[in-house]
Amino acid sequence: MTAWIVVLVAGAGSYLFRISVVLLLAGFEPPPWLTRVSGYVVPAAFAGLAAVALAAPVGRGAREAFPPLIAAAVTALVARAKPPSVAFATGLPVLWISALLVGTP
Amino acid sequence: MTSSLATIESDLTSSRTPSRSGPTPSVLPAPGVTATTAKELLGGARAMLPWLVGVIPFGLVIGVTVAESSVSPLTGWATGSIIYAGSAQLATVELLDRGAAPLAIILTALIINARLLAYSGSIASHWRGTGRPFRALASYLLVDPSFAVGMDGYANPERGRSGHLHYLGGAGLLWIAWQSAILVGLTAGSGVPSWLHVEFAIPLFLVAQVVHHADNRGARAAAVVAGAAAVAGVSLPLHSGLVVAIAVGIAAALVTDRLARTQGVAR
Repeated sequence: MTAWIVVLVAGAGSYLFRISVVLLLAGFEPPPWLTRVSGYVVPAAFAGLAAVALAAPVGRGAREAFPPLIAAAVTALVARAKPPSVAFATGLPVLWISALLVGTP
Repeated sequence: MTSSLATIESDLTSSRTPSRSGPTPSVLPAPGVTATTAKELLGGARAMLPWLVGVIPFGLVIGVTVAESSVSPLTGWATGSIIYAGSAQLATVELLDRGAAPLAIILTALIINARLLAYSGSIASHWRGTGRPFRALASYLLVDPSFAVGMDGYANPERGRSGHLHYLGGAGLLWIAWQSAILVGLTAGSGVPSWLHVEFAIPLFLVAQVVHHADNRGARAAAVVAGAAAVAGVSLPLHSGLVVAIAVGIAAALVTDRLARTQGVAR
């Protein structure tokens, strides 16, 4: 029962986050500062999420850290000129090959 | 329910129909409208496909985690549709399994999901003027991949309201894939070979998205500072490092923006 309450409250709160500003701005023009800030949400949030995941193996040694970091570097390089899906399709094999080369389990 | 669906349909199609002249069938939509609707929905779904390479294994992992925990399978699976955000779901299941205090679990899940507030603020201007049923549904489906696919869809100003269809196509496919992946993980186990290192699939796609969106100095500052701050704040309590990192990254972008404008004026 407690588990259900926790899940329902966490779900309700998450939904409130999702819909709050949408409802708030439904009736009027968003202020200019919000429009400016909104352009930076994707780079800031996605960089934060990616950095934490890619940095996680660093503490386990260079052998484990190398494949994701080199794959991320290649992905970033390709993404400068090609769409994200192409960059991703290039970075993923780099991850597998580099993991194979360094013998990461 | 029928009227809600009708309102959503009206939100999605209204801007594409004014140019049509002559009588419009009252029951069946015009063939052109149906074709455009299908094209936009499929376009959104296609844009979501690369995300699914990382999302599906993540859903499998959550399913396996639920199966191996003391949390009931139904409650664990329900996190997929009720909380509907992977990291918060995983934290909820793990903390429930460890017997953590309910308030601490709720706070942790909400802090992890606080970034959704930023997504809501970012996408809100595109949903102005739409009906309540559309906003309710579209907001429910708002999470990292659907936000990215939606914003890309809205980036083309000529698209108008058909951007909503693009969003719903991607977000709908994501929702179905997510619920299915958790269910498969829960019942059949993950089955994903470890050499595929799928745990890095989403981060790699995020890197590609960051570079794609960092097309000006401010955005690049936001990415670099938020990335560094997130790593530095990884041990902050209740997984609050990411929220702090996003705030610091956006602040860095605004400062960079202002400096660039000041220098521009000085010149």
